[in-house]
Amino acid sequence: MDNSLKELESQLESLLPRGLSDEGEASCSALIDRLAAGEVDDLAPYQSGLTWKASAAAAVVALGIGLGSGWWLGKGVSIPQDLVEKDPVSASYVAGFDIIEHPTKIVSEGLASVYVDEVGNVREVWSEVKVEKETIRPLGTNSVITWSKKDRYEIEVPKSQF
Amino acid sequence: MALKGHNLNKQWQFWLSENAPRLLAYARQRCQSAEEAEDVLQDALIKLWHYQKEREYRPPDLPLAFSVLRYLGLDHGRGKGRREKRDHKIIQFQQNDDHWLDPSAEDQEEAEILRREVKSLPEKLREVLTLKIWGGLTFAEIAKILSLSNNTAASRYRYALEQLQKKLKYLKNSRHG
Repeated sequence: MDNSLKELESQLESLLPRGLSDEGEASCSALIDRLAAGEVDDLAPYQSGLTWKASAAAAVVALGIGLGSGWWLGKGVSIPQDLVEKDPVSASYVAGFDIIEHPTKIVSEGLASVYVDEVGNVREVWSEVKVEKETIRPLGTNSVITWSKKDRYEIEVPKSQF
Repeated sequence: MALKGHNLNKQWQFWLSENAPRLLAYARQRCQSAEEAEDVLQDALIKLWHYQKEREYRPPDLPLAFSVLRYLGLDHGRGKGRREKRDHKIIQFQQNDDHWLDPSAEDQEEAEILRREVKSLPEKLREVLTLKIWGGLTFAEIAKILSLSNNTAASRYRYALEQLQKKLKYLKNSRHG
């Protein structure tokens, strides 16, 4: 390796990766304590717990505020009244759901435009729409709630050289 | 199953304080934000803890930690729409100040340019560069994590450096007329 590349390596090494945020550090510390105490058995229940809480809270917030832009309920859905009235982020409330399904699809819109940027790299731009749905059932009921969200993204990337 | 008698908390806390920046830098490759990267790191800690059961829960070796992060990062990307996520991340890098590398170089402007160019490298090159420069791994360790030959890992690293050098030279020449 020639000297100029070695010099570049040194420059790169001088860019230091960021550490954990204060909040992240506190969370990791608490997590390690829980692991050492044998309170976390496996990743799956831990992870689904987080997803569960976020998803259920989002669903309830959507219901409570009368469904913001881009959100809607599926057909034939009955909404238990207590869903709207309870605190959307209450842990005890959130624990009362089953997630039935959570499909996501991404659809490209139109053809990609290819161009050459100012340093001679080939890049392409296109649009994609991500449609995310989630169906949940409050425990102890036969009601099913579906929410859906659409996000549009402008994608702009270098064309792969491999 | 309380394991506190082994003083494991402190060992893991120390291990994390030593390695969190390099692990986060790698996690950021597949996450849209610093917060998501920290979530993936926490998931990795849980996996690693259980993997280390047979080794008396000792803090893991770095290559194993990077392998687990890679697996979880891929899974995380798939769950949210991998391609959209990766590509959106590139846009985000260009549009806000949520950086994953802090410039500590004397020449701030050079460092800023370097940081931007690292982020615009193709993912395959950036991944090897990150594991080598900030992960501190050998080419053999990188090759194992990424399921490549040692030669391919080394070639990608060299190619990444050459691409960076080429871009920096071009930018310098442009600035100086």
